[in-house]
Amino acid sequence: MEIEKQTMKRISETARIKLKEKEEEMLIKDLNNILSFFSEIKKLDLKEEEEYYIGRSTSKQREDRAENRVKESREIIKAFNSKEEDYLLAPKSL
Amino acid sequence: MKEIYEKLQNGVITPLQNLEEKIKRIKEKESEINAFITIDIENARKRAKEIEGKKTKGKLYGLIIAVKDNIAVEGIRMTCASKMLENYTPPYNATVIEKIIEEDGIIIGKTNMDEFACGSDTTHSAFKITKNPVDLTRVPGGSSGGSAAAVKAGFCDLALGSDTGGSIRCPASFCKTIGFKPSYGRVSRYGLVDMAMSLDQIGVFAEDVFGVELLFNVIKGPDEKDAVTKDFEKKENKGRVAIVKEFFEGCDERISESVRNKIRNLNAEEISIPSLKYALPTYYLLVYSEFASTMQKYDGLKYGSKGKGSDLIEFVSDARSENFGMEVKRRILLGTYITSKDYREAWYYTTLKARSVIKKEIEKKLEKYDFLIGPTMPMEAWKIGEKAEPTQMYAADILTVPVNLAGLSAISIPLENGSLQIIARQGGDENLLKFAGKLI
Repeated sequence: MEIEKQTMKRISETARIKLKEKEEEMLIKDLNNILSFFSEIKKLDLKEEEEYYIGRSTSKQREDRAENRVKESREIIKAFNSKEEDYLLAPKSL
Repeated sequence: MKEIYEKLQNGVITPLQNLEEKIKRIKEKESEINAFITIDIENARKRAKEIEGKKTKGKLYGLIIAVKDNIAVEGIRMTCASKMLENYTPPYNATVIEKIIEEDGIIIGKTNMDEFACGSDTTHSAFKITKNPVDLTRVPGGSSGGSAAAVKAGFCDLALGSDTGGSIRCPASFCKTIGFKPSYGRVSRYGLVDMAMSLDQIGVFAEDVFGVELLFNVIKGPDEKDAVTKDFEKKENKGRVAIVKEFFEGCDERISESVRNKIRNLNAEEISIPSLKYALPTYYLLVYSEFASTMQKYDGLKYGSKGKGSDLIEFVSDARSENFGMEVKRRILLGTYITSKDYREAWYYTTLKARSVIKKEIEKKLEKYDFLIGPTMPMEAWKIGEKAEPTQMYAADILTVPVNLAGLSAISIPLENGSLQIIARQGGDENLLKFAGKLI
């Protein structure tokens, strides 16, 4: 099996997704099935091949200048969940 | 669609009359089809009255347009069919929306989809399952299933969707309408909630090629807010057509036959692209990797639903666990795994190299041929609830994903059985639409 319980714990912590016991069992099964379904790709001999990144060939840079893309900037913080007057609230990180 | 366009342009009907006609149909049938997440009748009426009687009519004057719920429209809630964004209203318009408004189009509402575009049948929405207007027991395809269903049911004249690996062409095929995925870099994605930025493209649904061309010509063009957009060099179209052998492997025989019948008179050569057998794993592994990365911004703070807990990590984890659906979690976890330090060499880097091989092989064929042809989907729309395993659903995308891996343009055209997919080179969108228009 590619993904065991221990690995699953590590990746779910990294991804910040808490899993219930039952969910975890089901996902271990799903993820292993999916990776085995796609494992044929590992058979390819690609040592000589270059990795393809979209940005390298296509992206261009623009001038670094401020632009008003939103008519009313206060609208942006409307979506923020917890506010107190002009402060945006977040849980303690330390 | 062309008829409505002409009537509006010639003043035979008014934008408001066109809108009321659509509203009538929505009232009759939307409760059984569920094409929309949000319908904005009030603003649509306001807009129809505003543009009425304009001296210079825009290219989309009075046409009713539905928008997939992952494209930002200022002032209308955008959920991406996720509980995570249930109450999020964007304060700005996507570039494509700005262009539609500029040309006097009327936005009627936001359409249902698979959550964050993760799915091929629109059953993975956190809110509702869209039904196929052609057969209500079947799925409409996905992930832009709501947009395809809205066009087919006559709720709008045109619709926008997004296509990462077939999310426009699959629902177009299943709902027996036309879906067009422009080349990578032809249409700005500013304001689109991305799923996998190296593959995503905004595109169009309509009941005829005229409608597809009309909307595409409005939304296309470089935009400095999307760094991959640019002008493409025009290439001559010599009308050389090839059918791709691998596209017919494992395809429903009636669909294969319909496709071959349709192109009987085109003198198409049969060719083989061997690396296509690796397209499906390459596509999905890339999607997982890019998706896991882009989804990090949903932390329960900036927008959408919040988590519980006084500690930051606890709070963020809670918000994500409670508000993401199962397919979204699967993809984030897989992406986290295959890009992690110990496994990225074996999985992620291999995928990037495989993409190079596939892209080069297809591009080489497109030097010799102008159009590659095959079926869009290997099967007809399945019954709601029929495909329970994730891999069953993934396998259905086998014919659409190569186009995105290589950044090409493609259109799906309905046939008696299944649909025909025509693929053209990157930047060859106009030639493709001209060719498709003649073929129908």
